[in-house]
Formats: sequence, C-alpha cells, structure tokens
Amino acid sequence: MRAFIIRRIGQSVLVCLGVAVVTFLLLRIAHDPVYVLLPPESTKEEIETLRKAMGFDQPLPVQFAFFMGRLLQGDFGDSFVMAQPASQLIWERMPATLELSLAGMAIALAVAIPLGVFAAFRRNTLIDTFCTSFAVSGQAMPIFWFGIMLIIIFAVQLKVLPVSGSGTYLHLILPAVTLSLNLAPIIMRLTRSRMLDVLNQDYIRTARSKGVLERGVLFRHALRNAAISVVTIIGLQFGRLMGGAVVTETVFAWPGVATLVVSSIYNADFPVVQAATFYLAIFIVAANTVADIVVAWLDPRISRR
Amino acid sequence: MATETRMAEAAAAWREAPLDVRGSVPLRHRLWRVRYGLIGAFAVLVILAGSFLAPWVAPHDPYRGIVSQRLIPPAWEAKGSTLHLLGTDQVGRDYLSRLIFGSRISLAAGFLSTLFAALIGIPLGVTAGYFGGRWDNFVSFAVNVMLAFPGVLLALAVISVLGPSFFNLIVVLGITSWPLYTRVVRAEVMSYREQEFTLAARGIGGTQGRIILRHIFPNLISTILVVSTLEVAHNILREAFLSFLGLGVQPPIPSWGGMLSEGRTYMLNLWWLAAFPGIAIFATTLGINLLGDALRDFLDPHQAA
Repeated sequence: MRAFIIRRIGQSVLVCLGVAVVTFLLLRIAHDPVYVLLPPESTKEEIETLRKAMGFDQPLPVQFAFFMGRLLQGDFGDSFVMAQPASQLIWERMPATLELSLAGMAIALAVAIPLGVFAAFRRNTLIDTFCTSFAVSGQAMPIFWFGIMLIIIFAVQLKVLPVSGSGTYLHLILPAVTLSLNLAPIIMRLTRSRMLDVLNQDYIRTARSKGVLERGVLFRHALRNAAISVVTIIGLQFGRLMGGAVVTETVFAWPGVATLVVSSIYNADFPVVQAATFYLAIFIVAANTVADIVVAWLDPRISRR
Repeated sequence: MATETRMAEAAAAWREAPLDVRGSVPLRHRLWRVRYGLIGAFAVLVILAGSFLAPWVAPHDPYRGIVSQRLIPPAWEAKGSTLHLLGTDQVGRDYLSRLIFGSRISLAAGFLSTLFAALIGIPLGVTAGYFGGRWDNFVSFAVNVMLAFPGVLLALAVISVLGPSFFNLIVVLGITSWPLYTRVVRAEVMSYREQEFTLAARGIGGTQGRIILRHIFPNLISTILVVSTLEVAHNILREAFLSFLGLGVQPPIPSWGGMLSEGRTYMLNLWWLAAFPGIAIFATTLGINLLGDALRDFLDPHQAA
C-alpha cells in the first residue's frame, strides 16, 4: 500500500510537470507572444522592452528554465490590469470556486446515486425509464442555458432567489443546482450500470437464496460493493466539475476563479489566465490522486495489481 | 500502474455508460431504444437539412434588421405577428431565420472539430496500444496531462492567445478533445493485440502497418463511430459556450451561443430571446446523443445481450 501511494504521488508530480510545460507553451503558440501581451497601439520600443523583460529573445529551453524557476516560487508575474501578483489574485478567488464546486458535487451525488441505485434495482420499469430519460436530457443540456432558465424562472418570474452574485446561501442555490446538472447525469448512469453489474454477481444470488431480505441485499450486499466503483467515478469527475464551475460562474457572476479568467481574457491579462489554468489543473491532479488512493484503500486488490 | 488502472477504469466507465448493461433485455425494451435512436436520427436529419437548405427554408434574411420591428414577441404572444413566427431580436432581425442560419455554425464547428480531434487522437491511440513500451508511456502521459485541465478552460486560454475566429475555434476544440479518442482507442487496441487474429496475421508474415490497418483498425470503426457521434454533441455544447462568451464566431454571423448571450440582456422581460437558442442547442445535442446511444447498443458487440 505504501509503495502504491509513493508510486501514485510520483506519477502525479510528473503530470504536474507536464501541466507546467503546457502552461508554458500556451503563450508560445502565438506567432509572437509579445503581441498577445501588449495592446495593438504599442510602440516599437515598448515591444522590444517587453520582449527583453519577458525573456522572449532567449532560446526556448532557457525561457522554460526561467519560467520553471519562477513557477516554483508561485510567481506568474503581475496582473497587467490590477497591478497585483497573478497568483495572489487566483488564491483570493479560489475559496469561492471551491465552495461552489463542493455544493454542486454534493447536490449531484444526493440526486444521482439514489436515482442510479433505484433505476438499477427496478430495471426496465417506468421508474428506470424516467431516471434514464432524466440523465439523457441532462447530458444534452447546455448548462449555461439551464442556469439562465433557472434565473428567469426563480429569480425573475417567481422572485424567490437572487439573480446573481454571492454572499448568502440563497445566492448559492441556483449556481450549485446548475453545476450539479453537469455531473448528476453521468454519475447516475454509471451508478446504475455498476449496480446492475453487482446485482448480477453470484454473491447476490447467494444472499437472495439464503433468504436475505431484498432491502438487505440492496444495501448491505450490493450497494457496498458498488460504492468502490462509484468513488472511482467521482474521482474521475473532478475535471468535469471544475470545467462546469467555469461555465456556471460566468453565468451567475459568481466571484470565483473562472469569472476572473474570463474578464482577464477580455482584458488580455495573460499572467492571470496562465496562473488560473495552472492552479486549477494542479488542483484536479491532486484531487484525482487522493481519489485513487482512497479507492486503493477501500479495495486492496487495486494496489496489488 | 495506477494511471493505467485509472485509464482502464475510464475506458470501462465510457463503455459502461450505455443505457443498458447486460442480461437479456426484453424485446419490447429493445424496440423502445431503437425508437429513441430513430427519433434522434430524425431530429439530426431535420436540423442538417435545415442548415443545408437555410437560404430556402428561412423566411427572412438573417442579417437584415428593420428598426421599426425590433423585439417583436413570438406569434403566440399578444403582440406577436405571424410574419415573424419566433419574433425579432434587438435590431429587428427575424429570430427564426437567425436560428436556422445559426445551426450552420454549430454543426460545422461540431463536426469539423471532432474530425480534427479524431485525426490527432486515433493514430496516437492505435500506435500507443499496439506498440506499447516507451511510446505508450509517453502518449499515456500526454493524455493524463491534457485531462488534468478542466474542460473548457484550456480551450478558453488557447483562444485568448490565438484570438477568436471560426477557424481558431475548430483548432482549439480539436486540440483539447483528442485525448478521449486516444484513451478509448488505446484500450481497445490493447485488447486486440494478443488475440488470435492478430497473432495469425503476424504468423503469416504480415507487416506491422498491414496488421494495424487491415486487421485491427476495422475492429475499431464501430467504437470510433460511437465516440465521434457523442463528441460532435459535446463539441457543439463547447462551441456554444465559447460563442456565448464572445470568443467564438463574431457578430453579425448568427450562432446559437452568441444569440443566447445577446438574449440574456433581455431576460428580465423578453425571456424567449434567451430560451430559443438554448432549445435549439438542446434539441440538436439530444438528437445526436440519442442516435449515438442507439448506435452504441447496435454496434458494440460487448453490448449485444
């Protein structure tokens, strides 16, 4: 188990390095990054000064070494617009993004897992059809549109919830529900199919034949075994969760990282975009690693594989 | 190993997402599923026909605004007129015509970016799965790094460097969505690599290229078809979001995401301006997903109950 954890963390460190390389290359895919960073009306001198200052006149490997050196200190340069270190801006916004993500994940799990279990247990009945239709429509729905429709219904027409912004728990409801729509369908479908898998196992038949009540079969025998797969699935959804948070925040003007990124993109404030991309990716890698370790701890067979 | 566990898990999760898993499915349910697939296919055909025949189907010129006819509500509202079935937008352009023309951007972006992603992802997945070793390690590493970035955020960051245009949109969606192909194809090729037909082909002296192209690739086609179908829907959603943020095609070209973003300004009293483009996106992705799910049920031999 310890060997597994060490190996898994080692891999994650490598992936983080890869993330750093991609973040570094982000700015270099432009024909000439200086033009991305400067407003179009800049003079020749300004362009040359910035090129020198950013080190764009150096060969790529040198630039990368320079970039990595600063990155290890958490330094992505100062925001062009707000005259603050980009990293600091991101960290200030991170709690709001995490709050939204956790709330969205919680709602998704609370809805999707019972529905998935129930749909599997009553397979090919009207209930199953209903749950599956819910999942299929949810997956096809543009969640930013869903968010806007929620605003129109609950904030504009019924006037029971605030339109956007943050502050109270009432502000959290609509964004969290919107975000959960990004996750609930896939978690529900996977829970359902895992439950079906488990319900087909021999030990379920054994439990039934020795006279265990259906309730006991479902909760004590089936659900516990399906839980491991479900945890794995949740672990795999962090990327999706953060991606959904990006979309949701922009619709509800939620003061998280994504709203900052989008406004930075409009302002061509590249250090902030770069820092946000990097930190969110690192966060996802960390979350996936923890999920993998939890799964290995729940199911020792995995770490021995 | 853990990474591979995760990848296998992801591939399995993908495979197990279909509507039903195993066991004998009663004929009447199978027919139902076919019916859903047919409904999806029909919806896709209608939308495709609409976008190809847009100049003939659309009742008005989507670019011509008449100032005296701004913000007319849909025909069924009190002040609506049958001249503009879905009303007009803020500069007096016929909304239905703009929706019909808007389908062109969504479908073109969805198909082309998926094609682009397939052209990158499939060769990588096939070679990684077939040759294994260091190349496989490298490709899997690249996939893990790409998957660490949260959904649409990398696309946002790249487009902020390249600048918004239709061409860049396709490039960006393509280079951020190839890992799915690589992951799925790689897992499948690995399962074929040691099977009798591959060994036999190798035994009679088939070259690597011939084995891959003539013996392994044909087995992948059904998987690729299904993944591609679902990816088209996914890319349509992502394109809509980028256009919604103003980072896709630029006005006055009609796109569903852009119309949704303009319509949002009026959501306090003119809800339909935001509602219709979303319904169009939803109908399209739902149709494609239903078609994709039905295709998967048909083509995937693992699913044939």
